[in-house]
Amino acid sequence: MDLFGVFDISSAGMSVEQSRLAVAASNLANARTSTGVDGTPFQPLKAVVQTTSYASVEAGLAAESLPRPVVQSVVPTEAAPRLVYDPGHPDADEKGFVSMPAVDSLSTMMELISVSRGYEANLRAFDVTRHLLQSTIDMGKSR
Amino acid sequence: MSIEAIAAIGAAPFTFQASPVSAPPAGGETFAAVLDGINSLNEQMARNDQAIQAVALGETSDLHQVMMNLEKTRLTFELALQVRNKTLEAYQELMRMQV
Repeated sequence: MDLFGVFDISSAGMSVEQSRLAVAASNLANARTSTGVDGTPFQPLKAVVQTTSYASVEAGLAAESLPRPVVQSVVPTEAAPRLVYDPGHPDADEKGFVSMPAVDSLSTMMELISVSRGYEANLRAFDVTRHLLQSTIDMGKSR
Repeated sequence: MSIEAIAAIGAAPFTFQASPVSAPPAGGETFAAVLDGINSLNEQMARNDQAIQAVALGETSDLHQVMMNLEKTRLTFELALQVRNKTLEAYQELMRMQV
């Protein structure tokens, strides 16, 4: 059924926002991680979203064939680490600088707001679909 | 007094023909198909039960997926309920018919 297919699209969108939220939370949590797994400082991550398919008129534009987003990969950003002067730190270099991850808390907060709004938008689409389905079924309610 | 104007009506032979009731085509929808639909709805509900258990045990990461499936099942159930109500209503209407 077509309207049920819209549910799945909203669900895919919510999954993507969930992944973006997880990535943003991980970036914030690792803002002071000076030693990553391989000794280098933690690199802020970002989620790369791609779509499963492209809509085409040939496919009939049914909800099943419409493109839905999916998180393709989570890649580290290229941002150079922030150098903090802290001579007592075990990770400090010979000049006393520690490489701290280039987590920009301001833009991460913006990302959080964007995630929140995106998730809400998908919820709203879900709500509208549900309401329409419910109204359609209520058509059959006797008097 | 001439009544020729309506004479034509009397001239036409009045026949009442009930159209024969044709048997339903073979291989068409049977009641078993309806039961099949109800069975699949039942399976959907059983799967939802498992999904709710998984949520309660903290084994699932996709809460929205579970909620969406619950909502899908609820709507499917309501649709089935409406179909059932309509069918029953039609049956009772037929049974009340004066013969």
